[in-house]
Amino acid sequence: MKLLRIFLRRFIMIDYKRYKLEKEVFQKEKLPEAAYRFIGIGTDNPYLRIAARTNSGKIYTLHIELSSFPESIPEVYVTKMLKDSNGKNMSGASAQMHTLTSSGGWTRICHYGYNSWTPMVSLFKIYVKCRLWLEAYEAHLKTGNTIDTYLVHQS
Amino acid sequence: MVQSSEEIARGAREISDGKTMQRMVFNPETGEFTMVTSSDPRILEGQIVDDFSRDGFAIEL
Repeated sequence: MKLLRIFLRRFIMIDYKRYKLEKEVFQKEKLPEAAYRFIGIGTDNPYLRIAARTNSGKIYTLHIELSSFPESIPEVYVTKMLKDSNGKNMSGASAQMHTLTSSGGWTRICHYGYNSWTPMVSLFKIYVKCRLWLEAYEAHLKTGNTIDTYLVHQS
Repeated sequence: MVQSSEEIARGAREISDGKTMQRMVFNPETGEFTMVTSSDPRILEGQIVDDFSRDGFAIEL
């Protein structure tokens, strides 16, 4: 089964047509071009790097894996290991913090419910949701409240 | 004035819980979230992203 998934993964990835559409959405939404970069489109390791600046002015970089997008929920990471308000690494899966198990030393955001995902979800929407997660994260750092105090769960 | 993370995060929860009439606007050009009243002209500058009511953390664009 694992081999079948690996095999299928080589063919289920963002295609050029969808990549163009996603870029058009970014342009239509006036996301500054300097804020994002698609890398590896057409290869078996495509991804998107996108800068997110919170209201406080802090800048984070989001890494969005595109190898199985849009058929599956893409993995989204903040390109660093974030720490919670107790100074602990946010490396594990936590419903309270809307995180999944980290990879490569990066905190992974749980941005979409499995039952809610459809291939029609745009990368822009994922970006905005993760941007809001970052705002809730900074609120957590200030207040100690868990992120699910602010962001309710999606099915 | 740029609103704080607590204001935005709290606002998100209040919208989800139906406890506010305010809307959440996101301006992609500035990257800023703002909680505004429905008559606020900033709604025209940004995009309303607050459809939390349906199924949790589910911004509909």
